[in-house]
Amino acid sequence: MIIIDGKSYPYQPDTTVLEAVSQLGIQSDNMVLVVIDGRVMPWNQLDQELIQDGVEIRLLHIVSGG
Amino acid sequence: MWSTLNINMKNLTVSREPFPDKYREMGGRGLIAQYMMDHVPPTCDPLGEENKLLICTTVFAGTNLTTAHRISIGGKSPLTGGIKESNAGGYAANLLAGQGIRMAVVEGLPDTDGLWLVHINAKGEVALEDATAYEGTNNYEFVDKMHEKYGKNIATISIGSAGERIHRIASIQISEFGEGYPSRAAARGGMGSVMGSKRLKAIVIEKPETRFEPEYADRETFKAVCTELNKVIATGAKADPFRNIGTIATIEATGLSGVLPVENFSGKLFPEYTEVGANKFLTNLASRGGRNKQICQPGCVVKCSNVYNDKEGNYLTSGFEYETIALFGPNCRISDLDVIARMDRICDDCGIDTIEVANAIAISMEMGKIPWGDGEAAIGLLQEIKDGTEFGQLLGNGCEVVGNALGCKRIPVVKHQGMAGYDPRNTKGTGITYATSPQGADHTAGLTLGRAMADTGRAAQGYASNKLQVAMAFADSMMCIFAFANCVPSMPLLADLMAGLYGGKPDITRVTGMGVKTLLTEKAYNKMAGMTEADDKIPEFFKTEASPATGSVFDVGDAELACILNF
Amino acid sequence: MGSRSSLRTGLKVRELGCNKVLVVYDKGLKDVGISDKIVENLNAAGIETICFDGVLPDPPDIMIEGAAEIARESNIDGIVAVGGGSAIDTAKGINVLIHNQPPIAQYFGIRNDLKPGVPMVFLPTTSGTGSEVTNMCVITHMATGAKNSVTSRVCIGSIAILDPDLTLGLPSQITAATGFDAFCHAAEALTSGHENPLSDALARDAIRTISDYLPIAVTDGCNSIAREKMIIASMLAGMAFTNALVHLGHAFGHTIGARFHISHGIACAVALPQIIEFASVTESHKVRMIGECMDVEIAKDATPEEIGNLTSHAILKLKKDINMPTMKDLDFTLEDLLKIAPLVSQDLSFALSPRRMTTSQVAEILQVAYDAKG
Repeated sequence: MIIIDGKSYPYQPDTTVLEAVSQLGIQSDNMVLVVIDGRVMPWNQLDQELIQDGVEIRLLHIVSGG
Repeated sequence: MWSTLNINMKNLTVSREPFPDKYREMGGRGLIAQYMMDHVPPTCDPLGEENKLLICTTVFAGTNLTTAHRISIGGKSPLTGGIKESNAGGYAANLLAGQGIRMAVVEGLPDTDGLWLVHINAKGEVALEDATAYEGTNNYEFVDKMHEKYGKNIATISIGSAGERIHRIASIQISEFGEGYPSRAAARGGMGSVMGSKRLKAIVIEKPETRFEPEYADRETFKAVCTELNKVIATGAKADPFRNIGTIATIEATGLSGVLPVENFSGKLFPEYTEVGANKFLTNLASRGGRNKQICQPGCVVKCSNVYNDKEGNYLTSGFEYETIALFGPNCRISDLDVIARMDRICDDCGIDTIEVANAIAISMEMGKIPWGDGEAAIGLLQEIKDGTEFGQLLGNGCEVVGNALGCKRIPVVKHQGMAGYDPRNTKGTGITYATSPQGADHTAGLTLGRAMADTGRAAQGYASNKLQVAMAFADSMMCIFAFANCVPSMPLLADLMAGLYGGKPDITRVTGMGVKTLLTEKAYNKMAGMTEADDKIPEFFKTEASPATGSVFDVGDAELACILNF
Repeated sequence: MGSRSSLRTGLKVRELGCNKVLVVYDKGLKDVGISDKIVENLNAAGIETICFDGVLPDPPDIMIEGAAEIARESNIDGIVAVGGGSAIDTAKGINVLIHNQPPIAQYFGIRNDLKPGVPMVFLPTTSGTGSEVTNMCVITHMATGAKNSVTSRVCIGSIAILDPDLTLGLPSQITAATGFDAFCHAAEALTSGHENPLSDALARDAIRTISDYLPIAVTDGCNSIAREKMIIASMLAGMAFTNALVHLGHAFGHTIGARFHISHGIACAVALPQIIEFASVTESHKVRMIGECMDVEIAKDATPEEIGNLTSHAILKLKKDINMPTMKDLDFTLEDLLKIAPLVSQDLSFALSPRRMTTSQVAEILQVAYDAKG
């Protein structure tokens, strides 16, 4: 299982981070930070990195700036 | 009934008067705009007798709305020559409101040499005290001394040596809630020099014995709506990178897209930005006992602040923010977060705008005064400001002054104010805001990153800048813009709050109208101060030099800029 | 492309590897026999057909969801749409829901993450919305009454068959309205501030062709050359605005159309001359292109205002030449019209204007448009 924003999803091997978060409608977009096990993953690497079983992903949405 | 604290530096008197009814439904940026229009001649000398320093809090002062106690400091800016509202967090606004003070007005210049501070004690008594003992004392030491004298239940609004020397980029530092570090900066526009020109060192506010309670038109409705809105903001904040990491998270959005300024706004990419990015920041916090998710004022549910320690685990700085990191970092080709933190500390201590001085340092690097990427040399330049050397004096007056002195052709300013951490070629809407905001190159006035279509394109960027400038103008009259960003889905509740507090109908145009009115008032003020459409321009080099990261130039024409703030 | 090209529909669908397709059209097309011909052509090529004739104008999301259920249950592997923009957008909406769960409203916006659908073949019978080549479908969200769109790769057809014969019977008024819609697409695409050299080239060609041939197609509907030129111009304009977007013309058009229940093309035509004149202040070099493509002589040193004025007059003349109804013909009062000014500024396309317009300027333009002779 993997966890995205507190919800569990089945783990599929050979799935990239981008594919995993796409199921939530998230596109490769620099306004959404993808945090994997506490580390921010640069958005241009999302489609290169494979997720591991048990990973915890948080999606943080940039709404402001300063 | 709310009071105005009148601080007359000519007569050396301080008194409380009833807060004028005509400003009843105003606060923050909106209040400053109207008050300036009513009381401060637009053609006055910003460092002269007629300018006033205005310190106020928001329209929701005294209530439990989260972040209602932002502080707005305004006047005529010695940097831009126009109206300025400089906004900060910290504890002072909360205590001013607790003391029943809605606004403080500092006017006049003393006839005699001296330095003073205003002290408001726990009983609400106000006094103007001699502060010559603190002359030349920088903010951290000053706050320590105030803690020794008055205890820790205080807030301070103070200037450091930069303000005392009347440097045009001097900040006013506000102490944070909790430890009281003077790390929240009302930085932009040189309000610290206005305070310094009036020989006012600080305002020290003790926590009142009895907290002032505002009058509500409908207290129960207000409370219910306030609880709901606070919940909405808290829920949004859970997924907000500013809460989970800090404002440094912005670099993860700007670092790969050419928005992050690199090497004096060269428009290049800086792959080493990860050395000063979110992951490095979090690692350093975790391994050194630093903290994020900190509040700067009581009741904040966004919690974007932080405490950053050095390698030995000792306190180094707090309120360590994206703009400072971007502009001292990649824009100077510096990739050492600790060096930047030291610079942040120096700036907070002597009271100087990090954005301005960082731009000045980048220009100094471009012109060969010090090497690119040399953090220690950059710290050396900051030390020159503290030491008051000849070059330090130049630095203290902003990046345009430094640029002109060194013969630099690439000076990133609008209305003489340095740009923030966003390259206008790669976030054109933000560039439009820089150009057209009455505040000068101010990103908080309307940052359009990710809000319209492609950031490097023109489509909808003007629209986004217009909408955001209105929104920020009323948000800066009500609460922290980070809290506001998380309450946008429930914006009508702000109208309910206005009605609950002030009476009348819960009409959203009361809120949005505040934004439009503020902008129009500021524009009118600037016009009377002598500004023209020629001041609404992005520097030429952004139009001719393509950003190597994206190929983009700033191609929004003058005719398009001219109608951005038409209503 | 070309006369009788629709007779190759079956062959083309076969080439795409489809065996069982949903054919989407409205009852009107059935009545005139066009849809039957296409169905016969498909069957003759050995392709099984399931017919959906329930297309409604301004396709409601519920209608699309119902059609998509039929499509899924029938296990179709292709979609053929015959008709105007509504039929084509219905087909696109169905395609979105082939492999993505309903409701479709959740997909409004620009979506790069939708699961692909099946091949689609489009046969436009108007000239037109250009929908056969765009990447979006415009749908009415019945819960709110508002129109919105899904913009996605899933909305791109595999093949567009542009057979002008299918437009020969189009009544004069509809020819004018749909033709002017295409003109608006091209003119707005040229002046959006979001254009590129490709979209400019497409738009310019569309404008030239429409200026020359739309008046002929309107007055002589059987003129096959005019019909052929128009169907291609409409497609070029569709490609142009897919790249460069539309702006004020469609902001006014959407609002006027929704409020007064008039056809999209007529609604967009209402204020286009004035809008192009307004845009000329910041986009004069592009407005000059519009004018020159309409054979207007514009001096080399003409000011942006002069360019705007000359070009807007040419557009007014085109409207007259194709007998576009004036607002007075449409029987609404100036007062009715001015009331919609604030709504125009809330339309999504308004945000894309290359030159910011205030609500009071919207009202001024509506006033000028109302009083204009044409």
